[in-house]
Amino acid sequence: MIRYVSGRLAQSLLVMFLVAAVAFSLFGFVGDPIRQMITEDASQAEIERLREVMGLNDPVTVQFWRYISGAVHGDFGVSYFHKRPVGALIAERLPATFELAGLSVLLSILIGIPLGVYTGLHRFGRGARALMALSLVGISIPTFLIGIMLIYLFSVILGWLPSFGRGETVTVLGGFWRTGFLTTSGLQSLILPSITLALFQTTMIMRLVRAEMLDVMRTDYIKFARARGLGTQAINFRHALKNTLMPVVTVIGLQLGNVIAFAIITESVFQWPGMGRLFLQAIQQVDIPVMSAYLIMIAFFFVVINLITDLAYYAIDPRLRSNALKGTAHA
Amino acid sequence: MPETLSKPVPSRWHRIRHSDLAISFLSSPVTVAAAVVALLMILASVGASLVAPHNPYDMGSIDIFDSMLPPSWEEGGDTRFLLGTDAIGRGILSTILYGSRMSIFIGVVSVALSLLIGVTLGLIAGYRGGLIDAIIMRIAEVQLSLPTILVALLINGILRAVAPPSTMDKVAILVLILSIGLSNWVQFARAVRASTMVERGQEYVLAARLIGIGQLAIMFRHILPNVMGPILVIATLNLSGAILTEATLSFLGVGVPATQPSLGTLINDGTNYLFSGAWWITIFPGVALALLVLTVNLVGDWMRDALNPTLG
Repeated sequence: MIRYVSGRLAQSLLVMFLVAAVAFSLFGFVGDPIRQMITEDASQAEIERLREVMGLNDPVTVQFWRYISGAVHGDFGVSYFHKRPVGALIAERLPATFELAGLSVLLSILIGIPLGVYTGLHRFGRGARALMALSLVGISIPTFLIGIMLIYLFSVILGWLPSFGRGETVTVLGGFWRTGFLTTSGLQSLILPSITLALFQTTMIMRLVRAEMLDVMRTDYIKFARARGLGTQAINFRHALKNTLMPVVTVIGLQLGNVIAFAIITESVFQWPGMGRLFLQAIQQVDIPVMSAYLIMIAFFFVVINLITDLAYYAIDPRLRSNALKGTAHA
Repeated sequence: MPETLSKPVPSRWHRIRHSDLAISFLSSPVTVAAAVVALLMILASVGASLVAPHNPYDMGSIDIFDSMLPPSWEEGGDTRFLLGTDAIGRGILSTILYGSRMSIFIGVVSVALSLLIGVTLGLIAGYRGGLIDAIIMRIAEVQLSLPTILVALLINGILRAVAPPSTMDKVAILVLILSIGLSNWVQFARAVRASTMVERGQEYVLAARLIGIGQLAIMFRHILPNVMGPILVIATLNLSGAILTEATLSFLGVGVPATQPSLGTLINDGTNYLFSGAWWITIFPGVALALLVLTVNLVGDWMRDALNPTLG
């Protein structure tokens, strides 16, 4: 048990170390950072002094160590483009992305699971087949196009909902979290982006729940439950759905990373002031400190999700435990 | 049986027409329709300079007075421009044809790159096994757990940091192809590795080793032809994904240069005019993109079911 967990932790640390190394090596590609900071008429002595102060004359390993220990404390340096600490920039944008992503995940679960159950139970029904065909079309239309079509329909033609920004935000939790959930305009602004972001996940969850339901409905214990004379409702929801949820929960967990990635696109369409747009601007401006920080944060996010999923599997599935004890690796 | 001997040898066309594959293809009307649409779109965009009513990149032929015309069937439309014109007077139909050519070109080349990388690494991992296999598959696993678009964006950002800004316009297409190609090799590698591990133990491989043929020759000349089966299916399925990724990156402004737009660029340009009611500048390229991706997807799905029922 301890061996498995510590092995898994060591693996995660190794991945984080490699990502940090890649992120740090990016700094080497853009040339001398001093040139971005000084004025034209700075003397050679001034440049040398600045190099010494900034630690650029130290060996690379020392600089790398300084970068890592800074990153652990949330210090990622100063953005070339915004001229502000990257940590502060990210802290500002984090709430916007988390509220958007959180609401989308919630929406996709609340819509995707019932639709999946419905299409799974009425496999050959007209409604279920129409939904399946629709979901294939939904997968083929790229996220940004769905966003644009929603804007055209609800903002341009109908004029019901705002097409960009977060609306009014209110500061909560002692001043560091700006939320859009407490104002009318904030809530209205959330509707279109969260639907756009949720659509792909919804179809994914729907298809997965459908497939799992089809599998479960064929099993013996469902036949047995029928034979016992249980009602349809009890069989469908208490016996069948319950047993489909395990893989569904796992996939939703792993999909969290996807939501963060697709948030980059949604934020760009709706000019949402979140982390994704910050990262995109950084790519366009070749703003290395922001790019590196985003890289490290995303990697951390994925590593933590994967670690939790693996450990949860380990806790639930006894077969993994015996394998781990014997020391044989599993995929 | 003697009866079969007396029958005439069927012609090649007859054999093709009555093969399992052709029957499965023709019995699925959706697939036939999708294949026809996809083929038409690909042919029309490859021959864009012949098919398109105008050349949107010939500055002499465009007239600013033709700008923002709605589609020809709408009020104020012009019969010369079936799908209307954009802000500088280029016909939308023509820009779509030239734009799809760019999208398809980048999609095909990046899939070819993924195929090359994936097949090579898969062959090496499957044939050699051991440490090199562990390293390659570990990298593949990490990459597979990240969404393609994120990997492509990260590679794109890194390449942009490496390339000097002044040369960016020239290398933008190369950067794009590299970032899409490098983010899609894993599926190829996994499929090839799995079948290589099976082939490795076959008699013909042992025979080749016994007569002293080199490892590289065994991998590429002897094993490769036998593991290429699922590759075509994966390539088709990846093509629609690559076209989508390209469109997304170009939409986000980190794709093709503005002088050589793809469908994604056209859609992005069009969004600026959405609020003035000129929906056609954005919606038509969007429909073209969705149609292209959907039809290629449908053909790919059919191929997977018909050729490789076991392929995930």
